[in-house]
Amino acid sequence: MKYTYPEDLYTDVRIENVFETSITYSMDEIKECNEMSYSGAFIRIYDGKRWYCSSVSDISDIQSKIDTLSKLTDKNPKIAENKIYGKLLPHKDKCIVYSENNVSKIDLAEKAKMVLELSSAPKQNKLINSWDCFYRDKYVLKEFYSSKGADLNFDIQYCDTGCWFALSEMKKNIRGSYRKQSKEYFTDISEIKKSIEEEINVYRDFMLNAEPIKPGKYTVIFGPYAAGTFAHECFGHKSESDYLMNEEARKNWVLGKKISIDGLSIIDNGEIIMPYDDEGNKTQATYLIKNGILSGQLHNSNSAAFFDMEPTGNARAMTYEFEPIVRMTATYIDAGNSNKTLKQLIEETDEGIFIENIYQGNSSTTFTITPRICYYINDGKICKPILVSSVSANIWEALMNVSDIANEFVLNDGYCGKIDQSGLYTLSGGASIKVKEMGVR
Amino acid sequence: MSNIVKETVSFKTDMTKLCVENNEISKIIKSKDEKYTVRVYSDKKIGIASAIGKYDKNELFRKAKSLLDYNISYRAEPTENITKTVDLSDSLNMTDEYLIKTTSEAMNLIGKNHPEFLLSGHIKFLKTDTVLKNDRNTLLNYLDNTIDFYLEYKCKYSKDGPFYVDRKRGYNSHDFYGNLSKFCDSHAVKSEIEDGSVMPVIFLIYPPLAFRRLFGFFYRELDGEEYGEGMSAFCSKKGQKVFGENFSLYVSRDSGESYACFFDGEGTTLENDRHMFVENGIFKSPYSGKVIAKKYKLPLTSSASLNYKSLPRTEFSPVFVKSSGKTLEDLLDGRKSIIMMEDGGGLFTSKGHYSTPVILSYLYDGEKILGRLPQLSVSSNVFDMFGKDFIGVPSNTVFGGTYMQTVVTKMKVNITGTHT
Repeated sequence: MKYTYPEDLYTDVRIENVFETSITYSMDEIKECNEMSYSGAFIRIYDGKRWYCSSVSDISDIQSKIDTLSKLTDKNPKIAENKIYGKLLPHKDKCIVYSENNVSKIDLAEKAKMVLELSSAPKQNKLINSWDCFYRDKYVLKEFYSSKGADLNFDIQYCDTGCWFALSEMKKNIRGSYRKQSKEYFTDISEIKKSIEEEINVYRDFMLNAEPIKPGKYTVIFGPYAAGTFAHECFGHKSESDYLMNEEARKNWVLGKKISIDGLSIIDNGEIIMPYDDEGNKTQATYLIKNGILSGQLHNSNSAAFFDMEPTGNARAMTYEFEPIVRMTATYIDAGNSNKTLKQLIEETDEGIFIENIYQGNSSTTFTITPRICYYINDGKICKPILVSSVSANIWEALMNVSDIANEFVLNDGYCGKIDQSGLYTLSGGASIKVKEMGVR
Repeated sequence: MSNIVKETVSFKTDMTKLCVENNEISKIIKSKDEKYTVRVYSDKKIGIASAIGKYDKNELFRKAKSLLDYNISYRAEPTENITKTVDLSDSLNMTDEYLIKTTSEAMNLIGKNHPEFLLSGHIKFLKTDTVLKNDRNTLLNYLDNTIDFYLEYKCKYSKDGPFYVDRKRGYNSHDFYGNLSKFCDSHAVKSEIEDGSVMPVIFLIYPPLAFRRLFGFFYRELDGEEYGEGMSAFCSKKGQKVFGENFSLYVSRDSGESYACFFDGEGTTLENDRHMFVENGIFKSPYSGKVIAKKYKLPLTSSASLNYKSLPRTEFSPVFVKSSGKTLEDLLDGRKSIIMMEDGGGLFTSKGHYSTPVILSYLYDGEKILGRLPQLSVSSNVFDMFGKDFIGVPSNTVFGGTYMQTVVTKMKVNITGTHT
């Protein structure tokens, strides 16, 4: 065992070795160029009634922290019979995916040069008042050890580049952005530059021609990017089991109940991001909805014990400073067997709204999306861009009102907030969907 | 290299956090940390190197200095010739035992008197010590001890329950229980209003999220760079009356009021700890840090972010609406109003239109919370909300603290669903 653990208690140690880079060019000047490496650990001890935890930024302090924390506990000779203890599994594994293509091996100067080259895309557009081109990366090597014998080494990596820009023309102005994410460094940015140019044109059209929508109920088509927010906000948060540890919240949550059309499946798949969660349990693909049927929920060890189910690998902490709680991973609408295209969904709509991308979304019993670029559909055609403050609906009604699904699929990264852990890396996305009767203002 | 100025920022924190699940303390988390940044300025360029925990100051300085070769632009001067310490740490000191005992007492009172409610979230006792110093005779130090609350009420008979977010410099179980129980009593009662009414809406605002919602229009349009580039809605409006005479918006670096550091990420402090953006309805200035202020010849408003990892960026916080000096009861003057407990996240459009679903709200008569309302939506326009329809900021608040601001304005209210 890597550490000496107190008897009659459960102990685990999660160590994160982090490398990250941040570069920004703004209007031909480099504004930010920084890389940083650090390590930290989060230690937990459980006595069957309560967890005692600490974070340390000096990993040579871990053993002394274990010894100090254990003095706060009530030793429990029957800890092995505890339900939560039983849900914490002693996996042993080494999964290092990013040894060759590790971003920490790429020179900072090379990354800065890449961003400078990217900046030629907004620079050549005369309508742009100001722009920022950026690059961020993060590599985390995680180690996990427990008194039950867990011994894990695995890594996670993500890279993010793109452009924020401000346009003005004919006394109108707008701010827009384009982002591209990847698990690996961007060696060829020609497609990204082309996409930035295309996105600038989309925003220009929106700026010049968007008109306010007449508030009311509309059929809404969520494009692949917006569909991800639908999956994440409308349903993903609801399926985090710590929210379901309330009797009233569970009334609608009956596994096996039909809650949407055949063909709608929403999946949370942690395997896309990392092999194990921050409690050392294996990640997996969990069907939250399968072919319209409510099928699953997301667990950590605590909620799994409460519901008498198995953990799903959804215990995540934002950084080494935080405790793991139930969080989503990669949450998306599965295209399933759909053979319809997004174009067909639009052509089959008499009147409605098409949401291409969004500012933000959030949810409770009602979920709300704030669209960024959206269009009015009339007689099966996209006819004009529109200004919309919010699109909202009761979650259960919205799911029952899903009327169609297309087969284009996109997975997009983002950052999720929950309680005091805001900024956790997640993925969301999916197939486009059509939903009737949504409140649009 | 000529004229190199070295500046360091250190952030020390000592935290005890109690995680609460269903009225029980489920986790106790302790941590003590230091985050440290070295900035090197030379010839309108800057280099930054940061560390967490153990660090070698010389190594960090060497690394920051090497980044000057990347020509990272910073066209402003470091703050000079100011030494000031604000130490509020004596206002709250407690042991872990007191924190646990007080929280347990309050939870027991909730469990005994309101058994239909289960609270989950956290209570965090945080000691902070922030120091900015440089070679230009600047030494700024801010120390504070605060207790942060983030608690969600799960109600056994309704899907949505209220939540309590606050920051204080004092803690006792009876005050704490009293704040929580205000809503517990009224949540059971279902109140009604007429669809389509125009009535006072009470926003409870806590940083930072709500700044981007209720203050979202100002966040965007008062940005110094937007203004300097001619893209702000306020561009041609300096000195003009744009809002109501009873509306004033300002940044406050008075740590007693704002619970924020008295200096920003660039070491800028403010005369009287305030800068007005809007005063008595008249637009005064946008917000900006040093670089933007210098570039566009704008006032310096102590609006640079303070963090260990990156260059200071323009930041719209900590922002306040000036108090009316009147109580909520006086402001409402007999009118029934809506306390907006949880909104659905609607934002302002570019034309200033605002609309949001309201997930949970309560009917209030100026003295008592009468009951919870069905699902609603509220809508208006920014120039009306803070113009003719603006009612004011009361001298007292629904929860009794200063961290969560209370802003009251008239809006159109529509019923969109049933009681949850």
